[in-house]
Amino acid sequence: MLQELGNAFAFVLLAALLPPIILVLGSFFRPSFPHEGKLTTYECGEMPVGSAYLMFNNRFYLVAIVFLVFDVEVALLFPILMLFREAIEIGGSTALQVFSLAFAFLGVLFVGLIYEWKTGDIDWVKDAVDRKDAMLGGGPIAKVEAKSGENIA
Amino acid sequence: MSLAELLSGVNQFIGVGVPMFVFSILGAVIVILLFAMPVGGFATYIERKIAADFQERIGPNRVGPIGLLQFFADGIKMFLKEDTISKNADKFIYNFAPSLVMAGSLGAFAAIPFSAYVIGADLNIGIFYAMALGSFVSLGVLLGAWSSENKWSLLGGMRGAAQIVSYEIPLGLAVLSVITISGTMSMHELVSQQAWPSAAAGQGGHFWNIVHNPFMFINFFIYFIAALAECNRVPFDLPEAESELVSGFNTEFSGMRFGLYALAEFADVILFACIATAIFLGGWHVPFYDLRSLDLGLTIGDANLNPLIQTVAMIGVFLAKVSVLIFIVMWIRWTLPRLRVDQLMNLCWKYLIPIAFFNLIGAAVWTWVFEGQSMIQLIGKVMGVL
Repeated sequence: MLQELGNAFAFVLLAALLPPIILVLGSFFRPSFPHEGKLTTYECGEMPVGSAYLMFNNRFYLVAIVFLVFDVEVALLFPILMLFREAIEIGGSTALQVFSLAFAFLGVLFVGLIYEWKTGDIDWVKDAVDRKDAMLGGGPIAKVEAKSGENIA
Repeated sequence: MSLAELLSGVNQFIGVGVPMFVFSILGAVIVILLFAMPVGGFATYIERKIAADFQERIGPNRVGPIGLLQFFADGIKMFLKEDTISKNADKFIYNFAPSLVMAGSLGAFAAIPFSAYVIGADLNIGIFYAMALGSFVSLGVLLGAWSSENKWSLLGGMRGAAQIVSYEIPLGLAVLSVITISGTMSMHELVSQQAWPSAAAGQGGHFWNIVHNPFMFINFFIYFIAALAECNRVPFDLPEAESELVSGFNTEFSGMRFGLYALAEFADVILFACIATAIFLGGWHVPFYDLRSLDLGLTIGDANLNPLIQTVAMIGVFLAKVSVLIFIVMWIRWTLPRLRVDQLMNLCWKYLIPIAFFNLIGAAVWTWVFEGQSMIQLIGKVMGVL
């Protein structure tokens, strides 16, 4: 198995070294005429305005956090469910143990997904209704507007 | 048996003990430089030709017969282009990002079983390795976008990261259900199990995983949709949405650097088509016949040519299935419009993930109830054939 891991490492190493090798080889052939205007950040031909490190939608952050939980779970389930067929062949309660272990784990996360669904955390465009309700204290006017605003999302 | 082991058979003929790592590197060179990169480049030509067909144009037809050498000319052109790095760019990460993307998409080819005898590295965690390296690509896209200090790039990169990261979950769940019904993570084993069922004891398998049970059939489409999003292909090409973000995450990459990103992207499409073929469409297996028992009785001297003929047949079958998938990917590109960001997220979190969850449970219950037998095997038992 160590040999096979070595083979896989050779693949990763070769793939990672290809870009530097190609770029260094190319530097012997390609022209290089740097110019002040050429080296500015591309902004459709205009002079760039301000830094590119502007604030972006914090939903991206939320998605990344939710993803972390789910991905760790999937990674943990790989070895457990791999043994499922073996557990069935062993017989007795082994299969039940593996099944309940894996799906209890999965179930908790699925409940989490439903919770996030209900609270609207996985909606990219937030419902206009909730925000208006919060701002206006949920009065009768807000309710009427909410109905017409439901389709904004 | 891995490619390196196969190549080390040369040692017997030349009588010199060449160290094993030479063959490891040789195997990597063969798969990456002689398969993944030329095919990735050729895919750009095919893409343009198919686009031309769909729009009733001629497409590239100047370089070589019917434009066959177009990708070669493009490569030379990009190789000779000036390398412009914007002066605001974070130079270290900017130079490092293409390596990450390439390592992710080309490095994962190690686990692809092209035939029963040809596989880059016969890892016992093959599919896990391919998935893990596949997620390097999102890191490379995000780092490349961030380091170029360009508003278009940053927006594209953030979109790309959110999209790839979200679709990794349905992808992971679909692969997980394959592992549940197969009980192994080795790519070689996964493919071997998908042989045509045979009545003889200890022979045959449960046929292609896509028709193993109804849940797997749906899972294939979940895998396919998620893989489209992972490769940033239309209708999920928001990271580079050329009509809104100039070129998205690779706006600041010029010349060969852009070429490397483009190549890595096409290699990614081929990689996901290869994995889909291996784990869902039976790899090198064909219906009704086991290619491992193919015997034409040809010999040269004492040497039996059967292993060679079998390998050629298996690679042919494998690549035929991969090409069909790649054609469908390109077909979709010229058929569907781009999704909006909120539609993209809804599709992933509200449709694909719950369905994939349900299918995983379904696949596990099917395996339990029918003791790992597939639909085809059960039908065969009922009909008394198996």
